[in-house]
Amino acid sequence: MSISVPKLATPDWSSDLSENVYEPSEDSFLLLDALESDLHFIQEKIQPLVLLEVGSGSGVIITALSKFLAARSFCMAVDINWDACVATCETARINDAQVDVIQMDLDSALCLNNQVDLLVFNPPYVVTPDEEIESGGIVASWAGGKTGRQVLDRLLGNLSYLLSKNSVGYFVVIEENQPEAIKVEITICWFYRGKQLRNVKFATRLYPFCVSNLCYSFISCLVSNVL
Amino acid sequence: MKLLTHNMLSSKCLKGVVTGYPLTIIAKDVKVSEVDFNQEFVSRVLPKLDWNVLWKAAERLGHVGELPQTLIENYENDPEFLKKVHHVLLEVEVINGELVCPETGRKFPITSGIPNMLLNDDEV
Ligand SMILES: C[S@@+](CC[C@H](N)C(=O)[O-])C[C@H]1O[C@@H](n2cnc3c(N)ncnc32)[C@H](O)[C@@H]1O
Repeated sequence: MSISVPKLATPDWSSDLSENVYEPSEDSFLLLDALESDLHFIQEKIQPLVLLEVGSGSGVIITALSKFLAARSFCMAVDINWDACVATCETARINDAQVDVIQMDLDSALCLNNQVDLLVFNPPYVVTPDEEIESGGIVASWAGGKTGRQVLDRLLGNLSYLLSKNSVGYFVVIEENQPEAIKVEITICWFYRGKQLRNVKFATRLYPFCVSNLCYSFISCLVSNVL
Repeated sequence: MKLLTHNMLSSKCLKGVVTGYPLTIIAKDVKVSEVDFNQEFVSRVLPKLDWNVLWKAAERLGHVGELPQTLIENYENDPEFLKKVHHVLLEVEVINGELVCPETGRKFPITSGIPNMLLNDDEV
C-alpha cells in the first residue's frame, strides 16, 4: 500500500529579478523541503488560516505555500526591502497565487494578536559587524550582526504575541547562530511574556541539513493546545 | 492591500502612538478581482477580525453592499452572507492611496498595492 505524500512545488520566479533582491538559493530550497516534509502535519494538525512570511525576498516560499493551501488560507508577506516586496507580488502573480504584501520592519505594523497559524522566516543569518544590518538593500538580506541573530532575535521576542494557540513557526539558522541557544531563548521569552497562554504546550524541533560545508538547521517551534 | 490585511495593520510602532488602529484608508485606485471562495475559510477567519473596522473600510471604499453594520449570528450556515464577506475581505484591493494614523495623521503610502509602513529613525 502506498501513501501519497503531498508535494510543495517550487514556484517560477521572474528571470530578471532585481539585483537588490535575494535570489532563491540553497537555504530557500531547503526551507521548501522542510515545509514539504511537514505538509501532512500542517494540513491536518495546524489547518492554518493566517500565514505570515517575514522577509519574503523573491516570494518563492510564501507563493509555494499559497499555491498549496489555495483558498483555505490567507497568505501575507512582509519585507523591509521595497524591491523584495515588488518581487514577491510578481512571483505570486506569475504563479496565479494570492499573497498580500506589506513593506515593514519585521512585524512592527501588524496587530496580529495571536492570529498567525504558520510563520516562516529565513532571516539574514550571516555573522557580520552589527552596522552592516543597517545597510539596507541586498546587504540586509544576509547581514545578521553579532552571532548572525540580531534580526531573528527581535522577531523571536514577539512570538508570544504573534502565534496562535495551534500554530507552527519555521526559522532558518546556521551553526554559528547557536540553534540550541535559540531554543532556550524562545522558551524563556514565551514564558516571560505569555502568562495568558499558560496552558499552551510549546516545543521546538530541530531539522539539520547540510549543503557543501554550510550547516543549516530549521528550528520549528510548535505552539499547540491540541498536540 | 486587501481589506483583510487592513484589519491587521496598525501604526502603534510610531513614537507616542497608543493603539494606532484602525488606519484610515484614502483610496485613489481600487481594483476588484475574482478570488476563489472557500466558505469554511471565511467562517473560520471571521472571529479573528474586527467586524466594525472591516465594515467601515468597505463602506469607505463604496463596496459594503448589503453587509449589515452588526455581524449577524449563525453566519456559519449562511453561504450567501459569507460570500459577501469574502468579497470585501479578498476581492477588493487598494492599489494606490494612503493609510493614515488615527492619532498623529502620519500618512503611509500604498503603491502598486503595497503599503509602505517603514518609519524614519526619528519616528521610532
Ligand atoms: C535570506 S533572505 C530570504 C529571502 C526569501 N525568504 C528566501 O528564502 O529566498 C532574507 C530576507 O529578509 C529581509 N529582511 C531583512 N531584515 C528584515 C527586517 N528587519 N524586516 C523584514 N524583512 C527583513 C531581506 O530583505 C531579505 O529579503
